[in-house]
Amino acid sequence: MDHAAVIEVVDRDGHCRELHKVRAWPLRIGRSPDCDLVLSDPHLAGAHALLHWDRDEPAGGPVLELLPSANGGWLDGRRLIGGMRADWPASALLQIGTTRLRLRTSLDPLPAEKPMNRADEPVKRDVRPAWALPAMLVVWAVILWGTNWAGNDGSASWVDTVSALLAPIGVALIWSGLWALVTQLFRHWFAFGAHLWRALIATVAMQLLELLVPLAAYMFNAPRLLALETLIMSVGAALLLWWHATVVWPRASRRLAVGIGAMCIVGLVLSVGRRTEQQYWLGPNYMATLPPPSLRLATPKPVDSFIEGMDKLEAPLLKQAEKRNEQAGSSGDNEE
Amino acid sequence: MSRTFLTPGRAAVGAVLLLLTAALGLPAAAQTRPAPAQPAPPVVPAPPPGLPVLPGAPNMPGAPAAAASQPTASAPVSASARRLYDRSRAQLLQVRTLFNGSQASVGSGFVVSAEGHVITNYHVISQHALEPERYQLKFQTPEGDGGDIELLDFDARRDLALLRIVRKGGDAKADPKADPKADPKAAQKADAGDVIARMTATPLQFRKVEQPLAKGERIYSMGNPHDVAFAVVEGTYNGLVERSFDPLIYYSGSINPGMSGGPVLDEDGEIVGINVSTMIFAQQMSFLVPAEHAAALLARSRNAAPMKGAAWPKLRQQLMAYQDELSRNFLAQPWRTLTHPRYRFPIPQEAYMRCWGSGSSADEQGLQMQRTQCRMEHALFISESLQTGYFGVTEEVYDGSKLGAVRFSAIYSASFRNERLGGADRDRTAPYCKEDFVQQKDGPPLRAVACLRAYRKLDGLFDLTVLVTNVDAATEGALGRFDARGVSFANATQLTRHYLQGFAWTTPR
Repeated sequence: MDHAAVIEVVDRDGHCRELHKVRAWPLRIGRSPDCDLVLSDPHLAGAHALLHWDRDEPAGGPVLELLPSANGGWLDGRRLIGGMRADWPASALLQIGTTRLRLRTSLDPLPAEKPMNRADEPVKRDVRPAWALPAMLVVWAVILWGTNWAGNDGSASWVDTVSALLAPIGVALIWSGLWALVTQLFRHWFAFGAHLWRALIATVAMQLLELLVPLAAYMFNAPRLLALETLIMSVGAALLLWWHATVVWPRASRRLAVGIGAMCIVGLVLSVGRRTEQQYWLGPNYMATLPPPSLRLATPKPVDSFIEGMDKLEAPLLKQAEKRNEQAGSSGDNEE
Repeated sequence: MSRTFLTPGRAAVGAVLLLLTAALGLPAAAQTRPAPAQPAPPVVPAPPPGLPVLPGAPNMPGAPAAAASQPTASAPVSASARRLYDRSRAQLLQVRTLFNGSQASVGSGFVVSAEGHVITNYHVISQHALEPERYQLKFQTPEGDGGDIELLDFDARRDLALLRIVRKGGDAKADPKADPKADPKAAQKADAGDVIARMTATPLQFRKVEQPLAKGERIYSMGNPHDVAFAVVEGTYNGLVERSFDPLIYYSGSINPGMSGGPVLDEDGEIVGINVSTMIFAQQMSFLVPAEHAAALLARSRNAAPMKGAAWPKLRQQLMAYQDELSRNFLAQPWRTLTHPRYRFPIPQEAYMRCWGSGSSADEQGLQMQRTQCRMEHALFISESLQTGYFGVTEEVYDGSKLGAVRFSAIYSASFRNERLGGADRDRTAPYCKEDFVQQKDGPPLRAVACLRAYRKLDGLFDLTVLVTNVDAATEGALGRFDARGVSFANATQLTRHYLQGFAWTTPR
């Protein structure tokens, strides 16, 4: 036994499924229990092939000899039939029957050890304390209840209130469940908690921003801040998608960021492109939020200065008027 | 009385389609045709809430109210109608707007001079006026003779147009091929010269302004409803419409689409008015343009050359003059005040606006609301898609003391957000707004939003919408809206200032 060698049985993805050490040369391969390497493949002959170590050549090397069989074999796609001999280098994949084999010997250079990928380290299951997820769920429920309470005049029944609360929570659970299934598919990990956590954090953050941005716009009389509302929605949604996707494909987080970011930018460009005839690219025509008066910090202007400020509208309007538009119209009256 | 209004445009289309379907017995699919009968009664109708409206019921013979005016009602009346129709039928004509040889819209008209001048409504010929290269004008007499007719001038404010029959030497024969309705024999017999000579032999005369009609006098409307046949309709003169900026005769009689532009004659056969519009979902409520405006248009443009090119520049000029007069008049009026313990709201005088009040019931659990809505009910017809030249004011008062500050703020914000401003379309740009906190010396702090839309083809005209709300009370809301359609930029700013100055404290503080 002078030359160490192993034969790998390879699956369809090219991964090694099982490994057989060559203990003596020549090695007999086949279906029969008498063989040195027994393969349970019905398309093989009892003794299908013989592996020699060829001493005649200066360096020596493994040589494959096919024994008589109905199906023969393929070495790197080259057809072999019974009685043929061929060199079997490490790079070549041998198929006999439906079984694919690869040979590694001590002559082949061994590649250096690959550094570990962070994503391949064991998943830390306890990244957040056990109370964090339920607490976040409660925070979100309180926000949902508050928005719902403020938005109705007290005439809604408890059934409406409860459904308004449960419907979004149900959607979040289903959403996280679907992401967990996808994670199960790719990583064999039903990561329900991880996805729910991400969905909750993102939703609560977006809801808080959507509450605070109009308030700030009103307090400081800065209606253009409302343009942020559109941005928060689309950028927030893109970030959330990316965050979910990194759980499923942790090795591709940078590529995912580029892809989702590009989609988000394209979406924004399209929605701005649809608004080129509007006064503003983003945000509503006017600020409609009217919080309680104590929150107003800006001082009112005299009527005259407001009227003077209107003059700035004339030039852009006349410029817009020159454009053509084939939309059927509406008078803009309330009672249409 | 009714509370909700349809806008003129939609009301007009609705009325035309409704009547057309009923009158011609067309399947519903026929509605996809461009409104074939004359468009747009610009008077705003008001459907009574809860009253079911039968399709085709308004103004149709057989409806109980209409039956009273059937010619069978009394013999002497019937005799006058027949005498008047016989006398004036030679001067009556149908004005047809053709698109690719088929009629795109039809109205009526009548000859008022020996030179062949014809009066009709502007809205009957608006398609030709705005796109003369696509739409041709033709006339047709009750006998089926026809020929070309040209546009000399119009008065968009009064919805009138002045046309003239085209005399083409001696060979302007009615072409039976181009006009399948014309009786081929009659067309061949009647030499065009003869037809025109007959039409212009005894032109209709205007009744003198010094001889006003009395309420209740019988008058006779003529025209060709729905392209069915020439009709004479008897009705009553009921004076002028109240609270209208421009005088309009209220006529109790059934006018139907297609009769627009036809004459309304007194017992002596003199013109007292021109058919122009009806109130839909109402019985026998029709409106006439007083004859003096047609007489003025004839006097002004009797010798005018036929119009060349699209009418936008002339429309613009007329609308500019109209909005100037209307704005000056409106700005000169002091505001009325709505009674409220805290604020004074600007409510317009009811000189030419009509106001309606409504509100939530007193035992409402949540938000209490009262609304006062005032607007001019008469709009100027410009095209199928554009009506303009009217003002409106809406004041809404909210009391949220049962709700508390946070809930009131959320619901009131939603109400403020809900205001419609319109978007970019064929006629107007998207709204551009100026917004800020505003306060007068003796008034409450306000949030004001002034939005303007520019007209694309009427350079320098704008639609104005001003939204105003108080910002000093935690559970009380005062939401005002002022609308002005078709005003100059300078007038838009003047009107905004006038409106904002109308807000004040009830008791100075």
